[in-house]
Amino acid sequence: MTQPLILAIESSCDETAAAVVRGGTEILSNVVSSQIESHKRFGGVVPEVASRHHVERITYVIDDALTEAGITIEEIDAIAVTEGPGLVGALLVGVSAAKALAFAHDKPLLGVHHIAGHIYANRLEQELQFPLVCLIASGGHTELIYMPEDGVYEVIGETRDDAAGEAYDKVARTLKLPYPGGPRIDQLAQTGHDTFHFPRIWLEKESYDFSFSGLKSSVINAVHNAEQRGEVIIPEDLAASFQASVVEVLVTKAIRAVKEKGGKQLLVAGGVAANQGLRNGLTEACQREGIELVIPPMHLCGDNAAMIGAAAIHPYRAGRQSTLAMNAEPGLDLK
Amino acid sequence: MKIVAIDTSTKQLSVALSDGQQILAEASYVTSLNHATKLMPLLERMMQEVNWLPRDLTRIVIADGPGSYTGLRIGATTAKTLAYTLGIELVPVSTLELMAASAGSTGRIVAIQDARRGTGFVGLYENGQLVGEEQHTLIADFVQNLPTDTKVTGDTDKFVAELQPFSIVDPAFRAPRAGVLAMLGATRQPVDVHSFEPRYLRLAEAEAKWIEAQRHD
Ligand SMILES: [Zn+2]
Repeated sequence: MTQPLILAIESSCDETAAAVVRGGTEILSNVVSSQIESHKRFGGVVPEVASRHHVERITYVIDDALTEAGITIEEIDAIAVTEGPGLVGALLVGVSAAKALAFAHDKPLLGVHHIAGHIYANRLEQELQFPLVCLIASGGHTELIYMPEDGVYEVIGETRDDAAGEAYDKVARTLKLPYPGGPRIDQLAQTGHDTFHFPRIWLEKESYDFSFSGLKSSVINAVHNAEQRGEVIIPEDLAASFQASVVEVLVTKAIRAVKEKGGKQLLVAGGVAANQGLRNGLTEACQREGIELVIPPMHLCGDNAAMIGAAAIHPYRAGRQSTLAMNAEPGLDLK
Repeated sequence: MKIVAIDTSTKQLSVALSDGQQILAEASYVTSLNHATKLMPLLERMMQEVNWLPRDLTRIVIADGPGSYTGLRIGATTAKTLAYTLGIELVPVSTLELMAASAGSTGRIVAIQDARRGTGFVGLYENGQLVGEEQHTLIADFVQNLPTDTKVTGDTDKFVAELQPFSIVDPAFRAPRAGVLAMLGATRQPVDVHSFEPRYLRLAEAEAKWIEAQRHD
């Protein structure tokens, strides 16, 4: 079978991205235009501002992706795009562009779930072995997904309140760290110690769900109490203590899921997969338990279009095409 | 010439095909359905009916605002991606100019879009030429110095008191029509496709607040 060339587009949050991927595994180009500098002044992603930036940049990134790949649009076999979940106005820009391309050149159109993209980012580096368990941790998501086989997803656990990345950003704001705060917390934590002993939120014994709002409140209270007493907080220790709680819960639940489900691999995906504390925690635990750990390289952890092109190989091979009536689906379920 | 004209800037979706001399096909919908789901299937069907292929197209004309932010982005992204990937011309035309032209009247006419809290996006046109600037403003202020023989089109129902002295365009001619858009854009200079953006005529709220805060610092 010849390997299909897929042009993929991703615009679900604050990165405008396009990529050309061959056969779902080989990156020919992966262009990401980040808006982070623009959103810094607001301390977070502003949907309307993000949507406007996407319109400004969309055709540049598509053109760059084709040029860098050395591929013409005629040679492309299908157009893939993130259908959801994400910010609706942001998603709509990618969806509108993808539909225009598919229509103009009479190519198949493939809608891809953003989280499926994060999962399949791993396949751009390494062959996947099923069944497997995947831990998704990002600014918008914290989920444990069981995959009995290729392209089949079963969400076995998810956050009941904040996503892990959200909790990081809020704690960073409490410490008055500049946006995006997650990486800064991780950095500070490297030289700090777990002196605060924040609670680990396990929920019910059997549950694979997560909850981070209680932890977030404990951190904020600790800072306020110290302020009232005129005590100085050591930011490194606070960051290390917060991170220790998050990482312990994520790692423990992920390892338990792999064991109980008989997973051959533990995959990690999403922006928080770039977190050094989490990478270390998972590496250690997987070594101890004899579990194969698959983590994408740093440049594939954040949002990008190559991962959408990788995940698109399933709808492509299954002939599951989308129509020109495709809509952005901000609350799309992973099925 | 094979021209596609698209307007998604208001609650109405309108698409037209023209050979530069006349309107060959035109369709408008006002439905509760999203423009995102309707635009491309409609365009595809219309192209099939007149036997055009996408690669035959020579020009895209797009109503570039002001209007609903989401609607503008759907139209602008579709138009610029088509123009880019087909290597053809992109011509933007103001939505307010389109509204004024769709009313079919000569003389002085104001097009208004409701922008809530007594404000609107407005443009004053005289025999097809813009007078002053299109702007986002309080309608009560805007109409104060307007001669009473001015016609008004657009979201006139939202400003009944303010518009009382003026003659209102008949509802049959109040909707912007893509056929008119195609004719307006047939001979104009195309713009750079990659850098094309809709004209929102208003900053994102967060951005406006941020600029305000900078001024106070
Ligand atoms: Zn993501």
